[in-house]
Amino acid sequence: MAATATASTHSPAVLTMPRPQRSRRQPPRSSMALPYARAASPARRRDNSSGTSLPDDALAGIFARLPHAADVVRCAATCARWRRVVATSAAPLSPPPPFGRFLPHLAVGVFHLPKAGPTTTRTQPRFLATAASSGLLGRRGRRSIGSFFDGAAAAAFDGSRPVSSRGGRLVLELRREIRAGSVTLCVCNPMTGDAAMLPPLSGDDTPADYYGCALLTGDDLHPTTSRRRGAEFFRLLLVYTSRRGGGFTALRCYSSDTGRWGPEARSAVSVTTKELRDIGGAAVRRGVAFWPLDNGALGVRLDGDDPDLGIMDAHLLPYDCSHEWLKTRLLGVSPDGRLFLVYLGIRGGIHTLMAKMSYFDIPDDEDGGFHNGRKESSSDEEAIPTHQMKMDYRDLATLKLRWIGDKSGLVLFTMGGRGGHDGAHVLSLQEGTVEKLADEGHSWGSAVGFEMDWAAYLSSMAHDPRN
Amino acid sequence: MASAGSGDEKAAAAAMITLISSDNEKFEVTEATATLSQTIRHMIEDGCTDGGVPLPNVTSKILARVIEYCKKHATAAAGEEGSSSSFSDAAFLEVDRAFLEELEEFDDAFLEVDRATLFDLILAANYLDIKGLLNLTCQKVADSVKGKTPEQIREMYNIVNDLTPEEEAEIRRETQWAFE
Repeated sequence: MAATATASTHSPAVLTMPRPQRSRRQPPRSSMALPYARAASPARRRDNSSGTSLPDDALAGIFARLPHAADVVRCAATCARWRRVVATSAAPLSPPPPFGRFLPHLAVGVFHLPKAGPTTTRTQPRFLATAASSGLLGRRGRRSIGSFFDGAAAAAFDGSRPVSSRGGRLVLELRREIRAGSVTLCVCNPMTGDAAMLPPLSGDDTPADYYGCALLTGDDLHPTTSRRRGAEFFRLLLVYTSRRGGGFTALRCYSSDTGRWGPEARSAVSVTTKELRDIGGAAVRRGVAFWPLDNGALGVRLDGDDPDLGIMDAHLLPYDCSHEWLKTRLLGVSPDGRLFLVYLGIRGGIHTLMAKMSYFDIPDDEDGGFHNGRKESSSDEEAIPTHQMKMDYRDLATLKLRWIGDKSGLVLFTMGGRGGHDGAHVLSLQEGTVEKLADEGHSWGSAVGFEMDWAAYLSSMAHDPRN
Repeated sequence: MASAGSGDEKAAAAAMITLISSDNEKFEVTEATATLSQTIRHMIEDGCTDGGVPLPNVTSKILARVIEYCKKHATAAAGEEGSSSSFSDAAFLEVDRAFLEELEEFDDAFLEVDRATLFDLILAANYLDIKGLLNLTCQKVADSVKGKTPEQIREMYNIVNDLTPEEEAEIRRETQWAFE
């Protein structure tokens, strides 16, 4: 399957992978096939007789008219049938209204490479579930990315590495063919088993080893008319150093509409190789992708009307002071839609690890104009202490921030050293708590967290904890 | 509602459709009224309405209410299409606004029914595929559930909580934010 995909250079090969056994998005209508339907008849009888005389589709019509996401969730908690109807009609119930807060339960875990450096041909990214979602994705423990997909398709991920992840989708770079010198990216949803192979970028189009990658969905680009865009719609934006004349900073965008990469565009903002090395995924706010650089945030806006996606507006939103510790800061977007820089530090004296969210000031002109945005020093900051973690500056020196989930508000970080804090952790900006995921982590290669989209979250409510 | 067919002569002359409820009561309505239902519109297009349209899922009591709704809204649709030429624009807007208010009042009064009737109306609107009526009735239920706890919803709609304590705890744990 991988061979077929790489051979086709001009059109995208969409892998129609068989759904994994625990796939939950839009399960088939037949209730016997639903993942939570137990074979025992008492459960079926219970489900069908409960919760009013209205048929399922009428109930779904009612749930679709609820004004707030919390109302939908409370309806799911009334009885077994309502829970099932919410779970099975989840797709039309999304996109959700704003939650007004981070939802830590959207985060399901982390995909990572156990070792940094070049991968062997058979290595696959490993998966590690958070405690809250361990029941959701089967037994707790490590699984490979391939185990979310079926048989032959699973082998396509041999030698791949996770690049970024956002809104229920994961971006992987497939194994680089040394001689071919090309890069092939895959955008997949491990929860449903859907995966799309993008046409390879080869020759002069190949990005160098380090590049930033932003995933934009229909919700990002058309917040008010997002229903026009299918759930499958996405755009992938890359920032990298071009192989052409002088090695300028380049931007390039793929659209699932056309199934093509647009032309390479020169970025108005230069990004150094040092910055690209740890640039990672992007925060996305109002259709603009933001990456953290040393002296400011790089914002890139796509021209939505340009079918070739060659027109991109890049601008630097300056920090008041530099944040040069490349591995210790990330950009996120708050539930109320504000861009912030997050970094970890220690509160002096009591040695408590704390996260700081430092907000940008971006004037909201009708054009979505972000050109005048900037971040002022400590004028608008929020500190989240994590009372359970005490450490000193030597521990902090090994800290690496890896990923932030913009819906879950979870920050993935790894630490080394001998302070007893070495390992991989997730910090919840909502709760101020830290969960240790693994004892190792400092030596990991690329690592990205993964959070569900709203439809998968609603579907997960039908999950039976006893399975 | 037995004399549902007594519309104005012109419409009656145009085309009348006979609807037959589950308890065998016959209702004669104009085509304009009947075709608010997509289900019946398709039957008319397929030419299978001779001898009446049997509706085995709808009782006469509910069908009478549904026809009442369709008649009112069919008039509204006809008014939108036809009358703009007979008024000056300002006068038309005035009339239009008054009529829309009247329609809104009609809808509000129409929804003043007990719960069982409301559900029966949803079932009928669903079966007959009448978008406006389905929207109206589903919204009424959605509004009643808005902001309520699961306990309040169960009480309101006589729903038996058949979730096991284990399942309930699981849902609460994963969706705690929705209960705060």
